[in-house]
Amino acid sequence: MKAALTSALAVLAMLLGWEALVRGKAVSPDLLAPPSAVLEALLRHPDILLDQGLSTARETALGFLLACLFGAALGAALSSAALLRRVAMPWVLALQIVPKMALAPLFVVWLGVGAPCRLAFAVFIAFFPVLIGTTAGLAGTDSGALRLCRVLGAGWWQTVLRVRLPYAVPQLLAGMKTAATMALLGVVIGEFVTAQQGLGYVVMFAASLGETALVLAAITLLCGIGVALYGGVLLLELAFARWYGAPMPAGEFG
Amino acid sequence: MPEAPTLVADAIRFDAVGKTFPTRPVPLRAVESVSFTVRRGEFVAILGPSGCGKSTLLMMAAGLEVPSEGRLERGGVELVGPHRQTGVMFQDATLLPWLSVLDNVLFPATIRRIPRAKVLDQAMRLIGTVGLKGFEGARPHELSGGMRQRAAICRALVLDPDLILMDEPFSALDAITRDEMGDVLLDLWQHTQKSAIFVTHSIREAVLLADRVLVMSRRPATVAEELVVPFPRPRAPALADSAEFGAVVAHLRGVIARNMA
Amino acid sequence: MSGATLAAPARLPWLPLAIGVLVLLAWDSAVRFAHVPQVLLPSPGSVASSLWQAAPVLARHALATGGAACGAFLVAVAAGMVLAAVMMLSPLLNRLLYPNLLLFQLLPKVALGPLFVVWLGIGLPSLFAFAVFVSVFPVAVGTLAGLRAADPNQLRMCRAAGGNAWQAFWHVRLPTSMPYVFAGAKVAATMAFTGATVGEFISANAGLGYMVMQAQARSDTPLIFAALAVLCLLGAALYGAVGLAETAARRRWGTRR
Repeated sequence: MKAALTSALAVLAMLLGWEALVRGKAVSPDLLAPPSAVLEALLRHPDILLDQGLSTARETALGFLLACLFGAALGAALSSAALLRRVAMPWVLALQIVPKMALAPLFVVWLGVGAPCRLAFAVFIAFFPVLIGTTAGLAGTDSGALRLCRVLGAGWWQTVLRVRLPYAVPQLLAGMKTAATMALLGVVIGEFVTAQQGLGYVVMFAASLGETALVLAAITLLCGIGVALYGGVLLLELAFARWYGAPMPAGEFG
Repeated sequence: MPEAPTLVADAIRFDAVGKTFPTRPVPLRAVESVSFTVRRGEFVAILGPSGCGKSTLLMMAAGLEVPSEGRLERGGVELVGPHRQTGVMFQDATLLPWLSVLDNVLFPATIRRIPRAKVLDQAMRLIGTVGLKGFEGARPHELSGGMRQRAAICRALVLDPDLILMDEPFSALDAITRDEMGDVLLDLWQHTQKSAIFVTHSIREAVLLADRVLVMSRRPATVAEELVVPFPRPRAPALADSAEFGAVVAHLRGVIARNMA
Repeated sequence: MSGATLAAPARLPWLPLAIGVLVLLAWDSAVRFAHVPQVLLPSPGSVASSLWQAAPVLARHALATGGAACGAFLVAVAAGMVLAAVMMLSPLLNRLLYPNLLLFQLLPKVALGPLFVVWLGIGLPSLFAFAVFVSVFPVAVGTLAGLRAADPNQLRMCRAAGGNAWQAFWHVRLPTSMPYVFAGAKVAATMAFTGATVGEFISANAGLGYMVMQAQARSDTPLIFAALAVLCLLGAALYGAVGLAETAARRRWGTRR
């Protein structure tokens, strides 16, 4: 609580300092619009920002959901088939090292400059952390618990439902948290390269006009979308933790 | 139940059982021609150094490993897989972290799809006997290591099995808790007619708890010596302080030392 | 345990490789026999020939992107480690910065790219600054986690032996943090290339990202593939270099982790 207060104060001090710096003509407002100007930009173009923001939010949310679905399904498939894992996992890992976000233009080639391109790219970017979280979670089941299941003559389905899944969910949630950030990133980069609509487009357009205030206003909204989605996963995690009732193993999957 | 147990049938019988693991480059011979019998209601301790193959022996008795040679009989019928009437305890309590103590104890019933109401009384009684009353709703992470292992005992006993297999169940506990757990087990056994195989490397535990002690050799494990424990039941924990007890322990220590040499 | 499963046994490296070759063959025959238009999916052969023909141009642009990304990576690692060390040694700074550092992780940092162009103009400086900006955070967060992961017993031992805070930092905290630093650096390696390329997408006059955008405008799909292949190779190379450095460091500092 106290820590949150200190850091909130730090942010407030930073904003005030920023404002003072610009007002005091130490920094040109063209380079760094002061917070007041950003607020003004937000209020001046509500319809544009809201429209473009909704587009970005919609695509991000849909991309995130699809990424979770595909990632979890493929992760489960990889975990249940050792051969498939041996064949596919090195490629999944190889794709992890490659700067995936640079592949956005390919999606434009394939899917044009519309929403399908941005959506597909967001899914492509966000799906890996979920996949890796799922496989790591399913592989991380306590071996003793699995032995117990065998002793008790538990069936495959029972073992999955009663033991493997509860052990896997914390890692899956960690993957989903990363995916939430990644989905937004994917949509924004998609908007950069398709240059049709969305907050990413607004950022690029406004930057090219030197409208720093509008750039920062759009980025503020982007942060809002990111925090909302991440917060949603966090709430899910909280609900799960309440049911789980024990310290959960944490994980990060970039 | 397909196997109709007759009164004369032994709880479990090892007949020239051997086990080799196909490890590379050299196959690992873990168990060599082991033959012994656990009668109904008998408590047998298997004593041997760490890593000698005792656990493999127990895993075969649990139906989790298949013998490479020989035959394994459970209640007069060849054992081919996990048996419904066998309870097992491992080195770790392996409680599921998201279940309460009670739900963990009832886990075997959940898996076997036995209605909760049918076994609830038995579960509560066991929880009371091992001294966990009041902790039914607690989660495993809130318990000490000894308490967790007590819950694991209840879980192994909840479906009222006729054979309990215990694989060094107290070896992860500190010495004081360990003695305490031995007493809990001893107390529990005064009231039951269950058979048991108890794998341990503690001579004291083996002598205090068992009717018969099998001393295993180094790997590949084989029965090096057998000793009938000369103390009548019911036994009290204080037995461990007696001179006779000390003499038996000393004798076994000598046997083990000879086998290790 | 999970790591071993994830990494897939090295016993069968030929299997994934064989699948890769198979995919390549399937790709080629799909293009050949199913008449997939070259604009959508060029055959591996035409990508290779594009790679060959454009080699001098590709090399020049690859040097620009690779140079910017590698330089940004080095700066990001140094700056990230220093930032983490300062936060570790100064509780006040830590209290002020750490929650914001975590919040920053949530921010779609790449979206700030156009701002860098506003600030520093089109060209290397803005590209470089942007690449540093996106790759510094994984290093800082990783290093900080590593510095905090020091074994309290070892720290106590160090203090009992009369060591001061600086010695504890140098002899205990830093060695323990190495695996974390390298984990962060690996992410940073990928992020540096991402930053450089996305920067080039936004606005640039050189580099592989710039080349990709140009090729896209001309619908020269084989060239897009060729440029992206080079880019992926460069990214993987930097990642591999970090991996090698990690192996060397592990040899130097013992077998911890």
